[in-house]
Amino acid sequence: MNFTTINKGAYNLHLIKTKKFKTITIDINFYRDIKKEEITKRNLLKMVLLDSSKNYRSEKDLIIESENLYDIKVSSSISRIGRFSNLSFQTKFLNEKYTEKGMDEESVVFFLDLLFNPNIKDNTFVNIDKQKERLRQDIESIKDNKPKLANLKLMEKIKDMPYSLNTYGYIEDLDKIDGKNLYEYYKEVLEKDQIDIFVLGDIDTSLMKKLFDKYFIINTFKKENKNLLVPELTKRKRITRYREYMDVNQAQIILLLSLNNLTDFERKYTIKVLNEVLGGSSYSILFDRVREKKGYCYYINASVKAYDNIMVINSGVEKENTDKCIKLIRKCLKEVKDGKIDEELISSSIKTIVSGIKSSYDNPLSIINTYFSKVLVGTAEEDDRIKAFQSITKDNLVNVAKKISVHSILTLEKGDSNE
Amino acid sequence: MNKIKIKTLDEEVIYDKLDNGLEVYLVNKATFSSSYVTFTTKYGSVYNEFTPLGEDKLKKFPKGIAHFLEHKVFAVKDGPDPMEFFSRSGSICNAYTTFNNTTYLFYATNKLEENISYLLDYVQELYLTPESVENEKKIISEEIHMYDDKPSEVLSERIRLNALHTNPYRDSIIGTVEDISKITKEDLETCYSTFYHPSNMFLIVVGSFDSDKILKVIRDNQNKKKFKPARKIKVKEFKEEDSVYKKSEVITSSTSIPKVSITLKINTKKINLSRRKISLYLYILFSSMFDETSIFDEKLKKEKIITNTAYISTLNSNTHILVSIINETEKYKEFIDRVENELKNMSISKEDFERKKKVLISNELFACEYAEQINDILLDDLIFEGKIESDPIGIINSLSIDELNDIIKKIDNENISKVILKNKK
Repeated sequence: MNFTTINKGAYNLHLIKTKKFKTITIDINFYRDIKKEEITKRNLLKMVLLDSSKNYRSEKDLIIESENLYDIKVSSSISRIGRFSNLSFQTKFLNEKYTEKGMDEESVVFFLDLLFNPNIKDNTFVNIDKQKERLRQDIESIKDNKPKLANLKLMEKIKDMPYSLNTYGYIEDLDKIDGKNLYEYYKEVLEKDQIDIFVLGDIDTSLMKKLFDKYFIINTFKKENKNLLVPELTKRKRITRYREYMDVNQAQIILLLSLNNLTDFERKYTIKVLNEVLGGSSYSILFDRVREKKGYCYYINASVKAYDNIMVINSGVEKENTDKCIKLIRKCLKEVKDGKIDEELISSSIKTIVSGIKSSYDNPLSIINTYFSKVLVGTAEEDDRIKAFQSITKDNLVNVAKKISVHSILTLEKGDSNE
Repeated sequence: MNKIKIKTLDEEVIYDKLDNGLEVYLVNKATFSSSYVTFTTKYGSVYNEFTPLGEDKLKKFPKGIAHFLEHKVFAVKDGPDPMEFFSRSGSICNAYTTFNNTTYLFYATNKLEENISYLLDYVQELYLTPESVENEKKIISEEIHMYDDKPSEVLSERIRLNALHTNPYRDSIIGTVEDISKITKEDLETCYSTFYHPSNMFLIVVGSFDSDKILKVIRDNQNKKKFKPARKIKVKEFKEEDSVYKKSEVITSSTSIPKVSITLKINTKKINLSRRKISLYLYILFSSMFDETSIFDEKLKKEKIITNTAYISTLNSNTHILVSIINETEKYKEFIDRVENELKNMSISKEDFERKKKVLISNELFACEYAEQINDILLDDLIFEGKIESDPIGIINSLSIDELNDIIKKIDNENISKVILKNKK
């Protein structure tokens, strides 16, 4: 695998040459500090740009063309990376070795054309109502996913943190958006967002450089700011307990845990091992104690957001078992702090993480993610990361466990909605 | 040892059938860092009435038992359980149950040989206690409740219940809380000894390895074990009426936006083509009628009847194929009318037909990128066709619009079942 970065001032172009795949993947990331009032616009932009363009005025024409181009896949997404909102446009197409000569260029041109030749008239996006309606549905559909909904409800209670925001957007902001102010925002994104572009595959690097020079038309010079770390939560003496009610069959439990005073090493390595040990897999402490031994639940997971300085534990249980389950989760957490961790479990958790690192090189998007995190937080090389994980001991885990404390708990149970 | 060359893959599939009947398939991809291994029994939720091994009369079992058994195969008498064993080498294991098969799997970046041996060992031995069976009922009940809280799952369950009369594809794979409460240790043992016989199972290994070594590991492992002689399993045959069970139903569930499905029930015997060809033709037809490239989709969006493109789900239940057109919209009544109207005039242009063929061919190539997908393709071939298809692209190329037009003539476009799922309020 051969990695080259070209700093263009307005953006970084990262070329990853590998013969491993039959496809070429491109991922263009636009990111800036997340702001509540911009989230809905960013979500709408993500949809509007892929709906139609100057050359393909309707969604139908555009999709027909993408099918003609050997079913080139184009997608967009919004995610939050620490303090940043990341708007990503991705494409994946078959390497021309498997289709026709000239298709690599044609595919890249088709993709970039969507970003730079939008469907506008008089500096106004044409016909955005359809996508506004779709976004409205997307936002409303969160209610259909109960674990996600419970998580969102708890995060909203924690005010003024990047993760308190709903990354899908807000219905009340939708009506304020029109074709004109969305176009202004689009211009601003191109001019002001930091941009990292990744191209991966068995590529002709000089061709790719040439195509981006010609078609990725942004010239503003940008100052780089990679500080994505979210401030810590203040450690709570008393845990706040929230109860929400809805028409559900299964009660949802969410625990928000704060991480305080992590070192850079702990953030990159130790906390990930601890998370794996506690609830990252089906041999973890929580899975064994809460599901296998007690039969309270079908799923229970711990997930760590190291750059948010938080950890989340979630499960779905019978309503009458919620308190017992929460008590058991807290007991497990306390035992970990007291050093009651099986050495065998630590060693397998580390091996699972190492195995995950190795197998991530089998997937184009995982490879791109690794390189993107290298750009953002200075993720080390594969071998160094593996060595770092392997060096972690039980004492390290106990030390980091002591930096974890339960901040708040929310349950979503059957009952009349209190909204 | 045999070799099968699949035209979309650069590598060959190595195939062997062991003395005890177990079939082994290996795909060696030298560039992969990790391997993906599946061990499958041709036993899923639809096999609920059969002659147990060593008996001669048909016996009926509680619904959901194949999935229940999948959970319990993970229990071992002594030594590390699967979760623990695989995690020791950083490998990840899992399992799933479908209508037709139960599959045990793992991903590994090292110790492939030991892991394969262990996979064979734990799946080929069942350890049950009455208490562990009871405890599992609690866990699976929570799994059922999890699905009950997903409106799209509730809808897709109801589609089959209302389209089919007696066909076992009607019932959910997992069963209901009431179904699984009846399952006993003895039931599980009977199903296990009948369907987990090596002659009813196959193993697929996709990854980077030395094929001879892997084959030897598998052979040595199997030679150590004794199984009863293989016997063909007799499963109850069922008749299914052509009509739908319920033409229309409104159900309530906690959902943000009403969800709706219009399901066509098509008798497979009337279309005298291979399972694969039927599914390719139906994909071409219904995607070109309802996806983003269709006039239908463009019109309904313009008229604000829908905001999202309809989703097409197809299920081949052996006797009949169910094609469901699914969407979520407040204007579900208009949507249903328009779909029904569209179904009255099913047709496809030559241009759309050729373009959709190109899409299908491209996707065969896209799918060969990952170990999981290669494994899944082989697994589906073996479950549904009993053999590996060596030229999937050739089959796509052989499709003709005339043949599709013949199929269209045979579809009874009024044989429809509709389900509407909306909020209580």
